[in-house]
Amino acid sequence: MSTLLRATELHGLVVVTLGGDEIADVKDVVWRAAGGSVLGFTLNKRGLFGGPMKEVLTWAALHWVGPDAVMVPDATVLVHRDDVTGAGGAAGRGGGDVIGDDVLTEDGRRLGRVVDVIIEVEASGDVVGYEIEADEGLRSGGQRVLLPLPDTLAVSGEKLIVPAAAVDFVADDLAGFGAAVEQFRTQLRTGTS
Amino acid sequence: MRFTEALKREIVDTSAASSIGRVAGFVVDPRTHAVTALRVKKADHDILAWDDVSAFGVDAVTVDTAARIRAPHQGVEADQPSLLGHRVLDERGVEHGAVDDVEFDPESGTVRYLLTSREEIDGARLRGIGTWAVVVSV
Amino acid sequence: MDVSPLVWVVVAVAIILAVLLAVLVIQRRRRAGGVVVVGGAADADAAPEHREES
Repeated sequence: MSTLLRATELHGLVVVTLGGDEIADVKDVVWRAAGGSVLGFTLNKRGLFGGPMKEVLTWAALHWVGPDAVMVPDATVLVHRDDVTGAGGAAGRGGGDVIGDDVLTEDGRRLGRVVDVIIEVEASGDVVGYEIEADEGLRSGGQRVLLPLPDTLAVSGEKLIVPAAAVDFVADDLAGFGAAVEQFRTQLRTGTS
Repeated sequence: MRFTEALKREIVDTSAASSIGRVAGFVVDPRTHAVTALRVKKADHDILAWDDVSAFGVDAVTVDTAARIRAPHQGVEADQPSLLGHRVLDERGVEHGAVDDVEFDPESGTVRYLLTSREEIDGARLRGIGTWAVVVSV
Repeated sequence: MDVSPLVWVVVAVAIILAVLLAVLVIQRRRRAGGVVVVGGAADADAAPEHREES
């Protein structure tokens, strides 16, 4: 069983300890292209006027990510962003947001624009796909579709590159997307190695 | 017995045969899944430890002397929000509505069930009672 | 030229509203989240919680 979530659904989600106390809101979802997994979250203080926090939450420190809250063992798991080079560095630079970026295949075909990132939240925090607003060529223009990602991928600035074969495994909803990602990755492994 | 039945029940000092106050709330230890103290209304202080209760009867809570009523200790007794009406969240971050009532054993104080509008949650699943939610295991 | 006190009240209220709106907009932007990619292998190696993988 795997649980897939849209990264933007995590924005503003409350971070709660197993003791039941709320300690922060999720700000950014930070992930690493090489390895394709979520490193962690940057945080806002609770409440409308709470600004960004200096502490971040690493994926390894999480208890669980659910639809209504991000659960952590206790408040001590938050670490200062300077102590986590990967997640904190990205937050410090404030850049690298993939939402709105163009997706191109390796053979130079533009598929669409990223509107969301799909994360497998059960175990590893694996980033399994993009939700894109498709260009005319892929589907009827403007339609949102799910595009599977390989285990690792190259991110180079504003352009996101995916293997051409990803087009064959496009899904319309999260229900069937997990299986599509598995098939796509299996094909990549057997096809290229 | 349920929290909503037990609320407002009279607390009687058996040595003086007089009323001390009324049950205004419950302090629950999420680790032992049991009521550890009662909150008392209309008394000088507002905590009566469960161990100091002589009997949790159908019509009244009895205590041997009014001197058992004391000030809340720092921490849980002072800060714990009321379970009734509080949001229920499981440890996987899924909400389960709010606590409508709590079924407890009037002998031992053990919490048997948390009742939400949707389900009965076994008291043994209690993990934490905090400012945001009651956290239960899955 | 005499200006009605009512005009000053209206101007004051307008200024207060504009400031409030600006604060709200700034706050929204400060709190807005994204999906941030950290790209290179350097970042990955430096992240202590994933060191065991590399």
